[in-house]
Amino acid sequence: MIFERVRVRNFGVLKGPLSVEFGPGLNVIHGTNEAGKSTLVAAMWAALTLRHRVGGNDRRTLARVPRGGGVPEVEVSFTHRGARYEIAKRFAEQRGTARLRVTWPDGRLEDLLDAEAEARLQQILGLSAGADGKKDEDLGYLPLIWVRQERAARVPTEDLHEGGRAALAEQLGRLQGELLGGPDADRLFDAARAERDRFWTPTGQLRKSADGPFHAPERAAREASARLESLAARQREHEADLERIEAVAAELHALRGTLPALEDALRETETRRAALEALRREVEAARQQAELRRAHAIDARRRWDERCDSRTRLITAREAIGRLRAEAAEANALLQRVEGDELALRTAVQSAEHLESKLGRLWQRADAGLEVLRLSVDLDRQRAQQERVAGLLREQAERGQRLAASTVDEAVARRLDDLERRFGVAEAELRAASATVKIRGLADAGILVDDRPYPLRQGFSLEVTASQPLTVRVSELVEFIVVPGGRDLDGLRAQRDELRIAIDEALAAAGVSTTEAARQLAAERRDLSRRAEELTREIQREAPEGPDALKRGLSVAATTLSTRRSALATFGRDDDPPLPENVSAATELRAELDSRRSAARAAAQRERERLASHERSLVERRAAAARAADRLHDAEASLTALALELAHRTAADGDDETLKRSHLEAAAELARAEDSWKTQRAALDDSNPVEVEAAWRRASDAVGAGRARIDLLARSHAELSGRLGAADVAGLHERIAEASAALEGARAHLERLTEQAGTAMHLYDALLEARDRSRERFLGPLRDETERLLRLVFPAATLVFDEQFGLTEINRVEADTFDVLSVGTREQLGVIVRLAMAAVLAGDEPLPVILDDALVATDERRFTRMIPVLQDAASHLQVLMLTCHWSRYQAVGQVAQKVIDLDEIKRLAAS
Amino acid sequence: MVRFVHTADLQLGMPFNFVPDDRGAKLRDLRFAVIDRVVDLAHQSEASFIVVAGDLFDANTVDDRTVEQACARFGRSRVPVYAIPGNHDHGGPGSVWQRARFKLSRPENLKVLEDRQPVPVAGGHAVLLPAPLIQRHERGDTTAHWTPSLGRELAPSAVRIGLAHGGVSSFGEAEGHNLIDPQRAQRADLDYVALGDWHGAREAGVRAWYAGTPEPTGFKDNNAGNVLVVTAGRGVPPRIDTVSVGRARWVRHAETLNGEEDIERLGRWFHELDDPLETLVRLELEGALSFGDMERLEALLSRMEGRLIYLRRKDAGLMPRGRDEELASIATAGFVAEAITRLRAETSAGGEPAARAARALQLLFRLHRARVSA
Repeated sequence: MIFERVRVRNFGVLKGPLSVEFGPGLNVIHGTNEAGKSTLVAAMWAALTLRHRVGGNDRRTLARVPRGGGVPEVEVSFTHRGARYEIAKRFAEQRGTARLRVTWPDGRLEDLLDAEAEARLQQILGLSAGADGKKDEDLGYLPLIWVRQERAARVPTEDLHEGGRAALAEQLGRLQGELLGGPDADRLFDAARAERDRFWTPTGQLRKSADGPFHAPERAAREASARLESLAARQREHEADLERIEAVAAELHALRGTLPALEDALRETETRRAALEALRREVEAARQQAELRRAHAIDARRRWDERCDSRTRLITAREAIGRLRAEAAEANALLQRVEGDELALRTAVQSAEHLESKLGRLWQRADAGLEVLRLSVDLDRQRAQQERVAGLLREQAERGQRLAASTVDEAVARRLDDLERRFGVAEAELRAASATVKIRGLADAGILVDDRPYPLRQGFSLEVTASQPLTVRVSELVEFIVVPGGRDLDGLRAQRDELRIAIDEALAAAGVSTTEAARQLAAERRDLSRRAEELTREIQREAPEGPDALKRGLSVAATTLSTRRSALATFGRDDDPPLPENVSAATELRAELDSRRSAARAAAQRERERLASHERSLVERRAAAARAADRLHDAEASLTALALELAHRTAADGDDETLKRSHLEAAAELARAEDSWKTQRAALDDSNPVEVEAAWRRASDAVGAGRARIDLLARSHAELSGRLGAADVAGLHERIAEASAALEGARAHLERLTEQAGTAMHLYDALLEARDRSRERFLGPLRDETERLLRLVFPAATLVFDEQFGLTEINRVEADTFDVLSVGTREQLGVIVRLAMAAVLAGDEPLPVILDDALVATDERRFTRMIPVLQDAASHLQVLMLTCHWSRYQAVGQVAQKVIDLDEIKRLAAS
Repeated sequence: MVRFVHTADLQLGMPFNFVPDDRGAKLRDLRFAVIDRVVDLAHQSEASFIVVAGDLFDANTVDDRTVEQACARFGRSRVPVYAIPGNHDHGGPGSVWQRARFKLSRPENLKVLEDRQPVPVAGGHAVLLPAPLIQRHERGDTTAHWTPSLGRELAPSAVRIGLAHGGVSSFGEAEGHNLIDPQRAQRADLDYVALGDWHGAREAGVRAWYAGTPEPTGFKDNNAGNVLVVTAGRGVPPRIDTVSVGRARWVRHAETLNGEEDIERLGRWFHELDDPLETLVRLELEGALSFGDMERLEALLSRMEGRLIYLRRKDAGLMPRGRDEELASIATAGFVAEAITRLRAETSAGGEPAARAARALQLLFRLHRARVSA
């Protein structure tokens, strides 16, 4: 199909009428914005896909037709498979028309109107019957090759719907010489997959879940198996019981056969054992007799020994009593001697203690006297001290008064000295600066100096210092005024006068007339002050705690002395010698008495210790005498008891001779009894009792064990019989068979299912493999064509299509998917894939591809590479490229078959 | 001369659980019903008694209904029935013979010989020498105690009849279980030995016979389904009349199927069965059939399964093999045709892979047919 020409009138911005003619191969249609490029291809689209009678009720269809004010008219001429077609449509609701004129290759003409024209057109274009351009789905492959603005970057298969895919598949099948198998094969494949999925999970596991076919038989098999196992266990138990009862019965039978012989053997050993037992009893009787005799002999011997012992103890006791009596007498004598010494010792103690007491009193008297003497001396000293302090205090008071009356102190004196010194200096300075008027009397004359008369005698001179204008009048004759001209004389004079005034004021304040007097007063004041300090220190020394304290101490000392004197009187006796009058003599007396008193105290202590020692000795002697008496008493009591006991025993057992004879007879009887026992025992040993006992024990054990075993077996037999006849045994056979059959049935079912599952999987695998192989071959031409074009832009790139012609992978360096690519790359790939698909779809018959500004996002470098692609595609396709970027497309225009300037065409049409 | 009916191995209570639903129950009931025919035969043949040479019951643990059926049906007999325990229902504690239910329900005429003491029968004209199995496995020859003098004191001139259960020993097997010397009749001066254990009627030595089971129990073709009417006399060979009493027919059949005509032949074979309603068939099939023929075969077998008591199919050797036109009807081009080619190639490999490929093709054909018919 090749577009030859389009004529448009009243279609949007294209008022027309205008006509555009296309060439085969690559056509570039350029024009400025709003020139109507898109409107032109929209008009062509409308002519091919929209019905002429737009509307009725469907206003939206009409609304999609751009209207330029009048009735839109479009006429499109194209060739297709040797025939030439002219479709002319006027789009209106009621008055729309369509006309298709066909010129067949043989020159025959065909003219179809309206509905017939539309039907034929749809047939030619492979559109769905009744398609009105509303839905891309009805338009076969047209949306794929009709790339409207901004659709190039879409995934190409979005513009490839069912009809387009079918056409593409048909063409690919034709190219391959075979078909995939078509929808029938796909549906069969789906059925095989469904059959597989009936048995298998997506992960390749058999479906054993509740909704899977294996669930029920597996559960049945499990349940039957469990049931069978339970029943089989019961059966095994039953059979084991059978085995056991057979064994028990056999053993029971054998035991019952051997038991009589064992019982006979037991009886024989029991007879031997009875004889042995009788003999053993005789031995026991002999033993008991011997034991009895032994007891008698021991008893007689014991009594005889005790009699001998009593006799010996009696003699010993009597000897002891004699000895104890002597000891008691000796103890009493010693006691009496000690008691006799006591009175002398007590007298000595009293004498020593009396002397000690007397000397103690005398010492106390001497000590008190000494203290009275010392207190008297001290009282006198204190009184003298108090008097000294009183004198000092008085002087201190007097000096204080004088000091208080003194107005000139050191500071005043120093200030006066300082003023005098400064006055002297000022005076000297004034004098040095003043004029000195020397007047020498030539004769006596009276002179007035400043009206003050100075008698001047002849030959005497008078010097007057003139520190200020001075009027000297001589004898009323001469008056001259001396005006001193010294520098700052007034200031010096004023300073001197001020100092004079200050001195006078200070003297007046001090109450003195001269500075010397003030200096003397200040010296006196200093002396007074020093003396006051000395007095204070002396008072402090004499009465550190103050005069009052001194007074209180004096009072206390007087009281103490009085008290001591009273105390001294209490120690005295009339016959006591007089006490010394001085302290040293009193001290010596007291020391002497102290020495004597200590000696008397030591003597008294010695006497007391001698008395205490004596008392201890007395206690010991008394105790010793008492002990001797006690021992004697005990010995006498013991002797009495022994005598009594002997008397009792003699009365009981006879005299000593009788007792001795009895003891000897018992010993002889014991010897006889032991002989008899020994004889019997030897006879018993000769009967081999151990062997007899062992034989009996063996026989008894054998019979006991046999009977016990028989009892045990009989009980076991009864128990087993009971179990063998248990109610659940009846019918066990049938139940086992039933469970076994159920298990086998379930297993067989599972086997059949497994086989079916394997079959389904095998069929699916075979179909899948074959389908994959076929598809690989089937898509070959499309992939080859796409990659051929693709490599003009992307060297070494490959593409992978899926079964619906979707791009699943684009491999440039690494595998990508379409949607991750940039808009520009998607655009280029989209154009390439559409061109390739169009090439496949076209086959031997060229197809048009409309690219309405399809590479706007493509950069210059890629755009340059796309030019050979377009050129290559245009060798077997008609490519209509619309653009508003003529400058960019000039390079394309150079390789294009035809370049169309829409603006120019419009201008020509208008003119 | 004394006449009696010799039977054995009734194995009442045999479950037949491999036969589903009521047909299994029918098979079990047939074993009870055969007792009636044995009793009737005894009456008709004027037999003096009936001997059951072991395995009256299938197991000592059969249910009580089975016990009741046995007792009730033998209770109808006007002649005594002497039975010995066999290996399936051996005597001793725990045996069905000592079950309270059996003791309660046992009819007077049913005598169970649980010990080896000779028993005079038929008014003293005969003496039975029983060799019961009182354990499951009796070591050695269970008839070893039979001597020429045994039982002689009870009836010196009576016909001597041995009654035993077990296999006939051959040389080298003397140490096995439950074995019987085939020359025992001669050695013990017996006029007849009634044997049980073997399920088909056959002679087993000098004057010794197996009666076989009166109602067959399996597909082995061994002359089962009979009882023996024995006429024995002192010092003369016994007369044996084999009488068929079994109802169920257990039939084995094998066919090689390679085409429609083979299926038709098989259909005719089924058609010619005496009484399909009383018949069990074990059918062994091999060969290769087209998908269409397979469906025809399935239809035939399905029909027969509805008629027979039981149809056991052994068809592992039968493979579906689609004809060219069948496979072409699925697809002649495209990947489906390619898959068919591959699977067909696999079917010639043999073994399970080939069988699986054949089944896969059959499944494909079925899916195709289902889709077409849908």
